[in-house]
This record gives sequence, structure tokens and C-alpha cells, in this order.
Amino acid sequence: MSAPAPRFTSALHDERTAAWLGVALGVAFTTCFVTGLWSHLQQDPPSWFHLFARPAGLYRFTQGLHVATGIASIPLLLAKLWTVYPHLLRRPVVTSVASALERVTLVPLVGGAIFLLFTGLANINLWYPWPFNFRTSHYWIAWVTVGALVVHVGAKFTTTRAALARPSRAAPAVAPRADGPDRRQFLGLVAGASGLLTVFTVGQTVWPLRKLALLAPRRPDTGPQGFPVNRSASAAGVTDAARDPGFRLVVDGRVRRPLSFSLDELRTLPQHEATLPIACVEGWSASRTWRGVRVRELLDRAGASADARVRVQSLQARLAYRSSDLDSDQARDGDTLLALEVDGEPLHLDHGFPVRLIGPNRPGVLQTKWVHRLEVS
Amino acid sequence: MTTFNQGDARGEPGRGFWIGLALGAPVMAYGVAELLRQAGWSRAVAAGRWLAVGLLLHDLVLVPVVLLVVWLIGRTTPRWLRTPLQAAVLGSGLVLAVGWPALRGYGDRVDNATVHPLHYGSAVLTVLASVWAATAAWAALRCASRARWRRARGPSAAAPGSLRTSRTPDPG
Repeated sequence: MSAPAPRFTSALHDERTAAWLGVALGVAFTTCFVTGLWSHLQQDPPSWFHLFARPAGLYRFTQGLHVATGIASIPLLLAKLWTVYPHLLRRPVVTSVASALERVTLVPLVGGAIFLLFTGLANINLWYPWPFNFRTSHYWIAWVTVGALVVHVGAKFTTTRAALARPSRAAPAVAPRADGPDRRQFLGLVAGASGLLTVFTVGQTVWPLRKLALLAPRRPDTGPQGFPVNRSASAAGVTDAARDPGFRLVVDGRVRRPLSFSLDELRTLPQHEATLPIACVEGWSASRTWRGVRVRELLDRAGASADARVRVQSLQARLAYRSSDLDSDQARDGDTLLALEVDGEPLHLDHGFPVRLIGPNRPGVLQTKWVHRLEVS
Repeated sequence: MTTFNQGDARGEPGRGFWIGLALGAPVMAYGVAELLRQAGWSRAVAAGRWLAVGLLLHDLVLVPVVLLVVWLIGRTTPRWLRTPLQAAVLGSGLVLAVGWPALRGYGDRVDNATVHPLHYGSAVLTVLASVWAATAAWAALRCASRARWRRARGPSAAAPGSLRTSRTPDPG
């Protein structure tokens, strides 16, 4: 026998409000999942995945979208959970095997969604208060959450479609309370909250809005040489090695003529200029003009094959991301450089002095700094 | 409009649920298996614990606090002010939550001044000021609209506690 559920007086705890918010969240989480998957494939490409170099700003767009959508999802998720909160207190708790299973799958769905938004928000602040690896946990719990979302979409598809198909101006079964917002106002406020957070954070990647990025943990116009740093030379432990006058850049591996250059010798090689974004996985990005030696120039001088892949190695001896791989397309792209300068100045030590990799359509963590070796395979 | 207070006869999972489960369960299982494989048992369990704690904090703390705040404002303020004030208070909470790591300096690096480069006390106050300015403007409009509505209908039309339908202009 059903016990009466606690009364929630707001008429906004209704199917149509939940349906609209559900659709918005479904779009947002799908966007985050697809862009997150893309970022993960870039960082850990399986053998079947071909890394391509163009369009140059694609990763900047996808990762900016990932973070902006995640931030905009925070009010959507909280509003949706508030709307359906009476379901949590429904009695009886379960009525059948199916309803029990459905309830169980809400744990990974709701818990996973909260986990993803919280850890994502902390990550863009470079704040890691937990005892697990961010990227592994965020990524795989995203799979769990999306799996639970698929179950939820299946369970609610008919209800949602019916709720959205109903004419919005039809007489309501329950009159809204006189002192509360109606559905349109409520949804407008939720959209406004998402818009507010977006306006005050998206300037970390959308240059014209950078002055409005008051809640963003990074500003694309702030830092040495006018843009941010994720890992400094001292954090990477490369300060002395990078300043060593005996620095050499080595090109070896599957080549006919292994090469070795001092910094002065690198400067005498043909220099190429490219304006490319540095686009961080944490969502900030900044476009800069880089100048240096084309990677393909070095590969040609070393006699590497046309389909050569390259492992770009940093002076950094510890911590993650001390090397990155260039697919043949990326290595041969005319804008993939070992940069010596940015905006007409030698690189700042924290931006990778003496030599850093910069290439189109790459995550910032793979634009390896303090490069000392190209290992060709 | 069907509110969730009206029983759960319509909520019994149907065929769509089983289709969703058939498609979604392998995805969930893949995520759990890879998390365990790549993170190791203890770290995967720690991540699961954070997930569960987040869920409990939301359901048992955050939502009751929000309900209490909304209820308190509803009990103590005139009708034209209620929705704007509720929106402003909850919106301010949201701004503070999103800005909290920067405000507290969580994630700051001594060797890297580009993490949290702003003075976030002033920055958050600026955002809050914009929220409250918008709220004040909205509340003023509602107050003026309510006064116009009263003048047009006469004092008896504004019976306190009267219900309105979605077709009725909002008196505030």
C-alpha cells in the first residue's frame, strides 16, 4: 500500500519542467562526453586512431566547449535534481524489479553527474583534493554516467516525449502557487544562471570576453609573455638543464643521418612563423605567433621516411607529459614547429626555453616544452 | 501539468527502460572495469566513495538547505519580492560555489602566478553585484507592475493567497 509522499507545494516539481531540463542536460552531457572522448583520444591515441593536424583550432574549440558546457551544466543539473526531488522520497520505494533496477541506476547517473561536475570544476582550478588520478577517474566515471544516462533516457523517453508534446498553454492540472515562479520563469532563471556562469568564465578561451572572465581560474592574457603557464620550469625540475650553454637538440631513431644542434645552430636553420593557439585541457587557450624550425625540415635533413612518427622528448625527467608523439600528418604539417620564439621574443623559461613544440590541433599538454630530442620511428 | 506528488502509476518502467538497460549496462560495466584496471582497486574505490559522498551531500544537505531557504523567503517577504529574492540568493550561492576554489586559493602554485591571477574577492563581489543589480531591477518592475494591476482592478482584486492560472498576468 502506498504511503503518501511528503508534499512539495511548488508546481515546478512536474514532468514538463523535468523534461525540458532533462533534454538540456542530455545535450550538455553528450557534448561533454563527445568532446572529452576526443580529448582522451588525442592524449592516449589507440593504434587505429589517426591524429590529424587540421583544422588548427579544432582542439581549442572542442576543449573550450567541453569546459564551458560543463560549467553551464551546473545550474541545469541542480535545477533538474530539485525538480525531481520528490521522486527520492516516493513510497513505496520500489514497486517491481524494473523499478528497483531503475532506482539503482540513478546512483551512477546522479552521483556520476555530480562527481564529473565537481572534479571538472576542481581540475580547471588545478585543485586535486582527492587520492585518485583526475583524468583516469573523470574519464571512466564519465563512461559509467553516460551508460546510466542511456538507461535513464530509455526509461523516460515516452514520458518526456508526452510531457514536451503537451501544449504549453493548456490548463494546468495543478494551479501554480501565486507566490512562486511559473515554469517559463523558472526555466528562464535556470538558463540565466547557466548564462551568467558562462559569461563570467568563457573569456578564458574566447579572447574578446577575457576581461569578463572574473570567475575563471585562468586568464588567457596573463602570465610571462602575456599568456598562462600550467607547469613552470621549476616544477618540472628543468631550470638548470634548460639554461645549460651546452644544450643540444638531438634528432635520432629511424633516420639515415642522426643530427645534433646547439641553440645557435638551430637559429641558423630556416625559420618559419605560425600563429597557433595553445589550448589547455583545463579549458583556457591563447593564440600566439611562434617562430622556429619546422619539424619536417629536421626530419628531411635527418633522412627520415615520409611516414615517420616522432616522439618529442623534454628535458623534464619526472612527472607526466615529459614526451609527446607526432603522427606523420602532424610531423609533416608546415606549421608544426620547434619554436624558439613567441611574439618576437625568445621563449620564457616557463614557456619552454630554449625549444618547445608547437603544432596545430593539439592539446596544450602535448605541446612539449624544453625539448631536447626528436626520436623518429 | 503532472506533478510528482500525484502518485507513481505513470512512473513504472516500461519497454524503453529495458532497451535502455540493454544498451547502457554494458557501457557502465566497461567504465567500471576500465576504472578498476587503470586506476587500481584502492583508487577506484576512493573515486566511488567520492561519488557516493557527493550524492549524499546533495540529497541530504544541499537540497534540504535550498528548500529551507526558499521556504523562509516565501514566509517572510512580500509576494512581488519572493521569486527575485529566491533567485538572487540561490544564484549568489551558485556564484560562490563556482568561485570558491579561486577565492580560497585552492590549486595555487607558489611557482606559478598564472593560476588564479585575479583578486577573486573583488571579482566575485563584482559578479554578485551584477546579480543583485539585475534582481533589484526585476523586483522593481514586478512591484510597479503589481501596483498598476492593483490600480486597474481595484483593491479587492488583490486578495491575498488567491490562485492564478498561467493565463493570468503575473501581479507579482
